[in-house]
Amino acid sequence: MSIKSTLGLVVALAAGAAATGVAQSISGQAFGVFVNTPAASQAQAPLAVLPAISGTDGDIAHADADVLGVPNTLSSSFLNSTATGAIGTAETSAQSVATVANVTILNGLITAGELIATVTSTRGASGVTSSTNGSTFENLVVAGTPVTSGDQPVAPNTRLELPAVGYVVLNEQVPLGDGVTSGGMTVNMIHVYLQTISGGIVDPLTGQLVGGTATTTGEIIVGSATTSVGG
Amino acid sequence: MKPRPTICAILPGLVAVALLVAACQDSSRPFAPPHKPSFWAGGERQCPIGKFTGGGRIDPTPTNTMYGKVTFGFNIFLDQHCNVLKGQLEVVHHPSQTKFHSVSFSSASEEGTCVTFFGTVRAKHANGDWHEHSFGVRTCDNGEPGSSPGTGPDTFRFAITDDDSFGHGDTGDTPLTGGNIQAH
Repeated sequence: MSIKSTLGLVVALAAGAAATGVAQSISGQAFGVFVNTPAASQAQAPLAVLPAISGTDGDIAHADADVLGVPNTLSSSFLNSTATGAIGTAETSAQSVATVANVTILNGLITAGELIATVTSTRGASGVTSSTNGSTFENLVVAGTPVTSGDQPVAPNTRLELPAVGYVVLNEQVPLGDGVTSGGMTVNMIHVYLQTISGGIVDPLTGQLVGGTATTTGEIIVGSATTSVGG
Repeated sequence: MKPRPTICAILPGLVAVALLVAACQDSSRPFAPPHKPSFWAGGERQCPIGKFTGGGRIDPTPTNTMYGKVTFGFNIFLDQHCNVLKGQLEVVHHPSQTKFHSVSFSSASEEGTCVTFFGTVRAKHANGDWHEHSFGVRTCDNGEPGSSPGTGPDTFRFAITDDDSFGHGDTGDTPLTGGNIQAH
């Protein structure tokens, strides 16, 4: 077989693989907490990252911690992060799960008995799909207001204001890829955005600041899971 | 003066080295199964799929001896005779704060798009010490997506086979609340 015909065969095989939706790359990661504020920082931990996978292989990554806290910012316990995935000849999938228990953020401004972030991405003959089913909060309370009773989901990208602090996005979902040849999803169960406001005026009747420009000065993430599949 | 070696004199040595390298590469493959001829049937179990991976969550009910929130991740690779080539399993039972990590796998079998495997896990309750138990897993890829709003169609079952105390027991075949099982 000549070099030209060999190259032609390789190109044809690659095109065939793309046409039948065989993913050639997957990724997945999960972590319990991440803190980046002017007062404190904590790298993503415990962090599980799916190793690079080539060919039709698969792997798993796991990390855990009994307790994890950042003074005056966050406390938590029983943290578990897992990412799995495999590339197959017909279908490819990745799954990530992050769980955190006994969550207290900013000295009790946000509390939860436990939260579970779970996401899966699959690429097969029918295309690319991602799902965050099973992502829930147990007894979540934000600024003194109960959000869930028992173990329940919260609508994706639910934003709640945190006066004098910023805001929090619950079940924050960030799509990845183009959704055709590649796709995926990141789910952050609790994402606090710390903000300062410059300018504006104080309303003499309510005492609240009106107008001004909000600037994000830090963030806190609890319970994050990501998966993606690519062509 | 010593005669210089010719290519004819060197060639047999090069061939021998090449054969030796090939043999060494072949024997260094991890988890390599015993070599059998391609026509081997031998009456052994057959595992035509051979590769399963999955992760997510189940919520077994109190009718099972292990119930409440359970999260998991695994992959298991089998040869055509169901020998475990490689695998890993992670299971967390949240109500008892017990985590399980696989140590070894002893046997496996396939039935349709389901796989069953057994082995040994190490377990830890909250801040307690690690200790070992025998376990079994049965899990099925029943379609995509593995977990719809609601539950299923994929299922996962995890059981500690030598202990029925709190945090152990058997989840029963439970449809996925989240995640996916993939038979490749």
